Amino acid sequence: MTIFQFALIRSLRNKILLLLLYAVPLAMIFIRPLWTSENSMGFSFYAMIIMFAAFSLVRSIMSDRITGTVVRIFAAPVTTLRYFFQSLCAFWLIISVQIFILVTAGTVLYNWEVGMAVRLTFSYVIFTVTAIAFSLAWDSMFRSKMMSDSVFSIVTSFMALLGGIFIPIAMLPDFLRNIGMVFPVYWVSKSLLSVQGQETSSNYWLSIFIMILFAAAFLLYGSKRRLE
Amino acid sequence: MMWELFRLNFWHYLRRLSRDSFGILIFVALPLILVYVLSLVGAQNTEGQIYFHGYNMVATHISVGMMLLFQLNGGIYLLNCLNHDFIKPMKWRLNASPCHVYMSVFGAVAACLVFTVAQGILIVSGSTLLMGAYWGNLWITIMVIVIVSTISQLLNIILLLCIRNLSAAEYMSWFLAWSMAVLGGMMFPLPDNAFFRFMRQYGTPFSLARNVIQESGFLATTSASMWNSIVMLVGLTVFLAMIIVLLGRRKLG
Amino acid sequence: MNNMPPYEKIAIVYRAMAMISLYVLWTRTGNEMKGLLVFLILLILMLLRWRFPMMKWTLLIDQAVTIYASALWESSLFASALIVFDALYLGYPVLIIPVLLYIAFNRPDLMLAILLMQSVFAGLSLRGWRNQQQISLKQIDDAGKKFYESENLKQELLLANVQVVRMAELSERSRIAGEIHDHAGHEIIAAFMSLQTTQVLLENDISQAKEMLREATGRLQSGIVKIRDAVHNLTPFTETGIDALRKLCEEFKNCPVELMVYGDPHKVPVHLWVILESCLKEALTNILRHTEATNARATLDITRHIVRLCIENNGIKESDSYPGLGLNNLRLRAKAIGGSVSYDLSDRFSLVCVLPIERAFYEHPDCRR
Repeated sequence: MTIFQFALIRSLRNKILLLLLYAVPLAMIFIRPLWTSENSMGFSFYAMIIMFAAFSLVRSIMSDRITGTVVRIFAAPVTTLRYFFQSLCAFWLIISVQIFILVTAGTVLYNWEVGMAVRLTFSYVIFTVTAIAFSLAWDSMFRSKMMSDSVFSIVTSFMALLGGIFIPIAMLPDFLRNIGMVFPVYWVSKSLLSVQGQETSSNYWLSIFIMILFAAAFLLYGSKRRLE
Repeated sequence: MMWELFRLNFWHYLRRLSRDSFGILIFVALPLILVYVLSLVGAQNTEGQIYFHGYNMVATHISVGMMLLFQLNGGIYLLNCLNHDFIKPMKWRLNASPCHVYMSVFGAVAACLVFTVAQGILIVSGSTLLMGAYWGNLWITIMVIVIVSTISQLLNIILLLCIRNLSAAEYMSWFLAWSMAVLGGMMFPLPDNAFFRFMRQYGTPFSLARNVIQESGFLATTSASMWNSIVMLVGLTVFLAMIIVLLGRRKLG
Repeated sequence: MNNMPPYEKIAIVYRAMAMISLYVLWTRTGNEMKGLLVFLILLILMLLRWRFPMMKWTLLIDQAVTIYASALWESSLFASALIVFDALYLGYPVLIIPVLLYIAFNRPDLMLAILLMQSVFAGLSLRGWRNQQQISLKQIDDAGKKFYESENLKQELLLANVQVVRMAELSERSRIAGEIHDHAGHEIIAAFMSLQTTQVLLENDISQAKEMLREATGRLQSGIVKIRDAVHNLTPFTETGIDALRKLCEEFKNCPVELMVYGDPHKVPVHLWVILESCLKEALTNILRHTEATNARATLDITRHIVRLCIENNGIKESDSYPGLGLNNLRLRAKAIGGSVSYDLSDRFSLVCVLPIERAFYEHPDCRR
């Protein structure tokens, strides 16, 4: 598990990333109106934070590819599967710890039921997998970090807009909702609505299943070995 | 001689800016797409009358805010040019040229201003033709675009003079522009108290500019508020220019 | 994406457009969640086939999903167009039999039939293009390999030429040394010993000394004869070296050729004379063929390190022609030993050949033994 340990240490060494990963969500959980009102947007805002955190973490794989380090890594007896699996597991663990801390804090502060907390955690954890897979697929399409960053910020703005983050899904016209369904953010919003009791339970499991399918598709695309 | 130097600098920077097609896409296409999407959402969820005198009021409200937001962000072009030419090692080459620093900066500011104003005009045209937005008196609107772009350029010069780091200055510029939009009530409804009411009406260049545009047409009964806002905007521009003259002598000279 | 062949790019664009069309169709016809699941599963299977090219059998799963979903969402059968295209493009037409049979039994509508026909056409065309490209590539590879092998052989032959010359020189030297040692050597040593004895006998016995002296003279005479014979045997009958060049110049009847030699011709190794002779022959042939010269001059400069042959004439070129095979060959031969041949075809024909003299080899202590 060398690669796993190394990816973990490398990610945690970045102070700004740690701030984004732990300080921002923990600050957010203390803003009561975001979590307790009728149309509380805190749950969906946190999903966007997970997306950004996953993107920042997976960039280390992209910088490996751009700097040519990946050529040296693959000169060692390491299979592509092992390299990606261990790196992505490390990133998933970092974000999952953050999710666990946040949900625990929320349960203590706002008296969330255990069932709701478990479903919330599960929803976020699956979305983390999808977000990491998406970031992997995204990074594999670009050769320069600057280009990747600029286009990502635009695309995530659209994803947030059409995926029920800034505007509740119910307020979106059908035409835009259909476009939004192409983004995984839409499905995490839907699952969060189920957790909050505004959608049925079958929709919850459907959203989870669709997020898993998205993750599979992104992983298949992003995990091809690209040596430059 | 001075005019020739200025002309040279102006065309050089303008040509440099026009080569960045990605930037044009972000500053013109993106706001139009956002206006379209948000006006669809707004039209779906609004109870009142959407069309008034043949114009789409939802699109009007959103496009004014979006245009002003992107104009306030337009100073980032200038930030990048100035950083590349006057803070990075390139500055030694420019210092060796027979052109004074002030002239190059004037040329850069003029070129960025023209470029962002052109983009603003494109947004106005696009939203009018494609979405039926209402912009009031077009000459006043163009004047507002010029003033707001100028304010944005001046603000970004001050940021670069105070914060010598490009990425920090960019973040600050972006943060300031978005704060102005938030305080102007563009993103989400703010608490209803005196402070937030003031900020929404007169507190930021964003609010002042929006007042001018909205009250330049048939939406307002008198033009007193409009002229007040114009005077305040011009006053702010002069104030920022004076700060730059003071700071610039110390930092760039 | 940049290294992909064009048919591969077109296939990707076709598949992307098919998926987008399927999605748009899904938004227009009911919005059932099952439709979205079908779309996602087909996307995943397509990516799986792209990622692992061996998994072509997954086309069967695609078909199973499409057929099963058609009971819930009618328009899912339109996805079979993409499956048919994939199967034909990948070269496994037999895999699409299940879905075609199902469609045939369920009486397809006109739109679906047209879509299937166009995807068959697209799949077969792209497959044909791919096969054609692969055949052309193979032919180019084979031709390249043959060319490479022949170039290698040419290079080896040129090098072998030089090595053969060196080996011949070495073996000749040892033969000459052996002959002189075996025949003349003994006589001269015997004569020397007799003269030494004569020196001693001069003080004691004069008659004996006279006898010894006569014997020594006889032996020396015999030795001289043997050396003369050896030299006579070694002298070649045909002209070599500078004599060959002189003979070529004298035998050229078209115009008088003046040969000027500067330096010591004996310094030039044998294998270089061969190339110099060929250069002169080629130059004179070209003068004969392409110019109307009345006078030609060949200059041979021999220094410690190089030998330079320059042939010029005063004629005017009658026609524009490219350097022939002979000149190209000369160039290659000169290049193989580190020299160069350059020619000027613009105004009048002139040729310059510069060859290095490998002093290190000839002045090596081992060579003097």
